[in-house]
Amino acid sequence: MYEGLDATTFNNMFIEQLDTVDGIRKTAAGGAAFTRAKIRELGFGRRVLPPQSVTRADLQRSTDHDTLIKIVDIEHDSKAMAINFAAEADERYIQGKRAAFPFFKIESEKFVKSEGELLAYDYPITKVIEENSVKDIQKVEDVKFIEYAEAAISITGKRLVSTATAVDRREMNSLFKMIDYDQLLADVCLMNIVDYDDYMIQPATEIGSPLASEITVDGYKYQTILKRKLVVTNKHDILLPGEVWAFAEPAYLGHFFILNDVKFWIKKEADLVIWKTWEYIAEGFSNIKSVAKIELDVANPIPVGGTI
Amino acid sequence: MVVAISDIRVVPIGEDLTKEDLSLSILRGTEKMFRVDKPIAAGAQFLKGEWAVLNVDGKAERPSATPVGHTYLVFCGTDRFDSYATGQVTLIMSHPVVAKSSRYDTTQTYAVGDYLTVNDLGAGQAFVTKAGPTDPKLARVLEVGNGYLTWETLGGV
Repeated sequence: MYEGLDATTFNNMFIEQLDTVDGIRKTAAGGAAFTRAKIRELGFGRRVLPPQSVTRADLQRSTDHDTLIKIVDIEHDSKAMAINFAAEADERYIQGKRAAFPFFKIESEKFVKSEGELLAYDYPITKVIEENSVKDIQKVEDVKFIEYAEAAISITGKRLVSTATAVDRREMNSLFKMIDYDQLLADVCLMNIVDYDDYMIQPATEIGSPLASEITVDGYKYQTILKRKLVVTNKHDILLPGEVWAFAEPAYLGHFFILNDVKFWIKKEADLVIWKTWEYIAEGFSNIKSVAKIELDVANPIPVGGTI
Repeated sequence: MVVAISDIRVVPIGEDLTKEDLSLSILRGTEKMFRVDKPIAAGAQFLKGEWAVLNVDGKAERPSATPVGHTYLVFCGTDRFDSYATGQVTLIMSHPVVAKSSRYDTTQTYAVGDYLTVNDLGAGQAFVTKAGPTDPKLARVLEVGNGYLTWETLGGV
């Protein structure tokens, strides 16, 4: 839509479009499309637990307040037994369990800028929207994702404190076994990029000469580690270096619901351009046994004078 | 009266929902047992697997310190929407029924064949406990499990 234009020309056209009702609608639509694509790409929680789009008809209301939840069933247990011909098996009066996923809003700050100052920017205004609104929303999603993961392991105890100073195959093996033992399968490994860096300096005696040689030249270029999908993040303020997580595949893990997709709003009031972005989501782990964490005794990755 | 969705089943989840619910499982007799609704005495609340006593008005109230024969196993507690709507609790009023439950007096030591009775155990508990020689016998232990008892209900005589 905006290809072939330099940033200044684009910004000027953007402001002119906002002077008409139709222009506002079209500009908002363009911004919305751009925003959605980037959020899906950047949120690490979404890579572990892919979002499912829901509508109002899929949700339940509270009788006490004007908020929404989605109630999700938990698979109930069942078993069989070996018995004599003349006997009969035990009975089971089925009583299901359910979990409620409460929706909440994540909203960017309301950005305000005068049209004159917008023209002073040397990059397209959509980049501003991306770098502010999208980043803030995806960060809150991931904050809640880790918060709920911590809540899960606080109940199950699937938190292993290791004396290892860097992540390697043994530590990851211990991590995965915490999930695999419960007749689940660890599917995703989530780690900070600092730990990923450490993983790549394992000696040839540990990981084999061909792989060590390959990593030395190209880095670790595979999407899996020990057959588990690898998700790496640089958000050290959410995922501390030394904390490596494992999750089962989404069907055995939980849900991430988005109500009616991300919303983008923009208007021009006199010479001020105002815009914000928001979404309504519900995310969490209904099978808390599908989450595990290992905490390594990592050295401070920040050079002298800094702290984690 | 608690009728809202349990807080621990709202994200972030406060319990392992895949864990088997041992509060009450009827292993034998489901098809034939009498599932009878009784009005709830003022202020009384019951959970599945607890026991209720019928008072002089025929209403379900919590057991007192003295065990009585007209004490019945709660099949569906007052924490449900339907109980809230009807003002009644569903009791099992026939025997024998074979049941497994984690709701029992854990301060006692049990063996297969022990008779069980029900009284107010304090702290609001109304579970089965080991019966004294003169107590009404409400159940007999069939299995002492890890965290649960399996028993067959008796007539409370």
